[in-house]
Amino acid sequence: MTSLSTILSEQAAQITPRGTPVLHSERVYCVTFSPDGRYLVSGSVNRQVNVWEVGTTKLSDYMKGHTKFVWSLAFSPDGKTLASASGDGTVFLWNMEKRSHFRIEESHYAIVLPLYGVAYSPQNDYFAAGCADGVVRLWSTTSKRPPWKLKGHKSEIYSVAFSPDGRFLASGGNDSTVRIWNVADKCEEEILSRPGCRVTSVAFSPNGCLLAYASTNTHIYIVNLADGESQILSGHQDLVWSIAFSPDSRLLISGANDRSVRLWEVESGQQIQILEGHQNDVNSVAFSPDGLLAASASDDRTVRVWDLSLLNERPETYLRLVTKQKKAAAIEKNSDIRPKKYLDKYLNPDHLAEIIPPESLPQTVTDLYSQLLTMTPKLTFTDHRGSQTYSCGGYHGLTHKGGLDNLALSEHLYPEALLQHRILNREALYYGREGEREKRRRVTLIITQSGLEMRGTTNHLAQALTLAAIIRLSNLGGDLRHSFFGSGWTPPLDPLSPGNSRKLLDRQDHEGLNLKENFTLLKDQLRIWQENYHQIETLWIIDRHFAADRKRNYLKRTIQEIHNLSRHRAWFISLNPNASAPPSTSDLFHQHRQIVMSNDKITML
Amino acid sequence: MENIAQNLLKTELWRRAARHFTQADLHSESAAAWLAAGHNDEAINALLKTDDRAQTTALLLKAGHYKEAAEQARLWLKEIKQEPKRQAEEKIRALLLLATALHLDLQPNQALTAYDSAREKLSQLSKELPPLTNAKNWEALAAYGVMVKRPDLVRLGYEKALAAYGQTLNLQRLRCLEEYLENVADDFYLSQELKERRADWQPKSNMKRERERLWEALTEFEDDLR
Repeated sequence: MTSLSTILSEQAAQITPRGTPVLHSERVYCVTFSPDGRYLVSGSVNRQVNVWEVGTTKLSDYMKGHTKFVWSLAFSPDGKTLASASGDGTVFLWNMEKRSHFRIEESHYAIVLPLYGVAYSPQNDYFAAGCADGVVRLWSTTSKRPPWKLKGHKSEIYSVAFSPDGRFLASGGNDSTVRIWNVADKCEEEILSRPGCRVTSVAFSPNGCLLAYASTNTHIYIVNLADGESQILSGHQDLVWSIAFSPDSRLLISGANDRSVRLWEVESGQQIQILEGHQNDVNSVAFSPDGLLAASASDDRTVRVWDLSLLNERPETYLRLVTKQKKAAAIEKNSDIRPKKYLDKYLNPDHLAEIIPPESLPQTVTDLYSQLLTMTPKLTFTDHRGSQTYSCGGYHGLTHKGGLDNLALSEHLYPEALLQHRILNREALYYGREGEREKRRRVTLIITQSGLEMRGTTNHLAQALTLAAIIRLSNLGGDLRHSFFGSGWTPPLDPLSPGNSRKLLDRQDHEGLNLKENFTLLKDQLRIWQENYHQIETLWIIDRHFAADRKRNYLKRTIQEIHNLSRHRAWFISLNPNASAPPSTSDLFHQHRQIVMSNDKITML
Repeated sequence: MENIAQNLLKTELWRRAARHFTQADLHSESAAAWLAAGHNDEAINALLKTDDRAQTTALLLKAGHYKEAAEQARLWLKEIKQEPKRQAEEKIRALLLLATALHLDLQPNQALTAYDSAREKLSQLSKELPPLTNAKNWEALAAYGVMVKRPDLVRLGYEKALAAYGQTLNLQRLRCLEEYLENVADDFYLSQELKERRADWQPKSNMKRERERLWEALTEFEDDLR
């Protein structure tokens, strides 16, 4: 077992149920936390959805409507709506404020088609449910059109899950496959097939790198989406019903028919603790949004809440051995079940052509882009809080990257006995903070100025810079969005999505910059994101004279407001090689650079 | 040699014409003749005797007399204050010229005040004013952009002016486009784009005539070859 797993196990050994188990009148099939962490919601055989206030065992409310068992629950990302899927073939959308509901029925000709799994997309634009007829139903939250039917499974679908960027939907079921669907194109992207292994639960890790699925063969499989490697977590003694990743993607929790809830360290594949207490099959598990609690629902008619705060006590001190021991868990390299590298497909700069067909790019943009791509590494964000790794070779010849003060801090945070043990055994240690980086999910918004002020070379340069920034920033992880800021403000779109990529080049504004309205919309957007992201960055690709003649006080006040919401950087475009003085608005950004183009040559100041 | 002689003669003729115009109290014509002869100061003196504040101010700015230009712009503003009709039509241009003069005379705060009120009026009135006046106002903004080295305003001003002229005022639009082209000559891609637009906007009859002329030239060339 790796040192990290040892520490986690030591900590996990102290995990206790928080409060007394929440008692239900019937078996409990599903459980989930509200996005604000305030409520715990459970669905039960008694056909009602129960709402509990976290921290108490008091039933806050219950919602009735289903005529059969409630199989699955999912909150919309804003927490305003709760979707419940039931054996009666309906999905109920519960308004959590008014406690009213909207009923969607998918059964036809008096044949009841039970719905087993339900999920909301992180962008709140879709929700999906897996049905007993082997069809995934995908509804748009913005229109009342009938659902898209994603057909492919040969049998019942037990679970569905959206990827964190909302681009993919995974579904798993009785036909021993996990299918990955492209949400934008509504088509099947990938099939992971494992004969004899019926899939009961699927989950994407919140950092978007992994896909996990649980099986009736007692194993949990974790697929690395970047390289297709899969890892098996073995330990349960009976079929696993439910899995969930912790918000920082570091841990995985599982519940099975062997009456146990197990905690796993994802990276090493080590089981770090068995949480015992349930008297019957465990049907559902969930992490709270802050990762400090976990909940499990069981056939023993209880929901247990587990206090995991001990595991989060030192999120910054991630310990691992320099000479990494071979992972205990088996690593499979069977090419038959390896998925395509569809994440890579969009992240690799060489695949720009797949995002935007070359023929749709103006020659000028292509030329500028190829120039810029070689330069942008200098411009990419280097400030990944928590990504530094400090190494010390068994305290013999300390080498380190980063500040020693941080190293010392993490050293002191370790249990003394453990630290002594390491030092005495001359074990080499890595102190890193990768875990924190995953925890701080980041969104980067690239804002490109449009409008009549941006014409000719300035516009071509802005387009090329935008493309280069998208390619470079996509490699840094986190979500990426793009907006135009001109006579209007375009809502942020995922620029890597094939459907959206063309929009990067098609923008035609017929008016000048509309600063006031755009800033209001931007502020609203950032406020929404603040609830979902730990870190928000913006990169402005703007003309050197952007907002130069607007009233200084107004600008200062506005920018100050958005400064509180995110970190802003600017790339100022200039065609005047002699303009060496910083742009007048440069001090309003946290960081800025000037990109000057003169005689087809681009320089950065 | 011949060219130089021709130019000298031309300049001398313009000078003489200007003097004649001055004697006849035709000061605007005199100013135009002085300008053509390359004598800006004399042209300004002639213009100062007229009430053409716009051209006087513009010329003063061109000649680098920023204080005097600001003075003229203020006078212009004072004059148009009395007449509501003129106020709507000319105030924006007067304010922009004043802003230019103050900016170049290194009075940034006063320049910004004048500019702000011009921009405010521009956005308020642009939908109410007739297309020609509207276009002129936007052209004035572009001219301000040229003088204070703000290429973004040059682009915005000319684009809006071109849109305001539209197809109905095509000749004005072509003239404006030529000016636009002249002022963004350093921007290769924009120049290309504008040249394409110019080709589209050229009156068809002219194009036909041009084609005929080319055809004639070609046949003549062919005849010569034979």
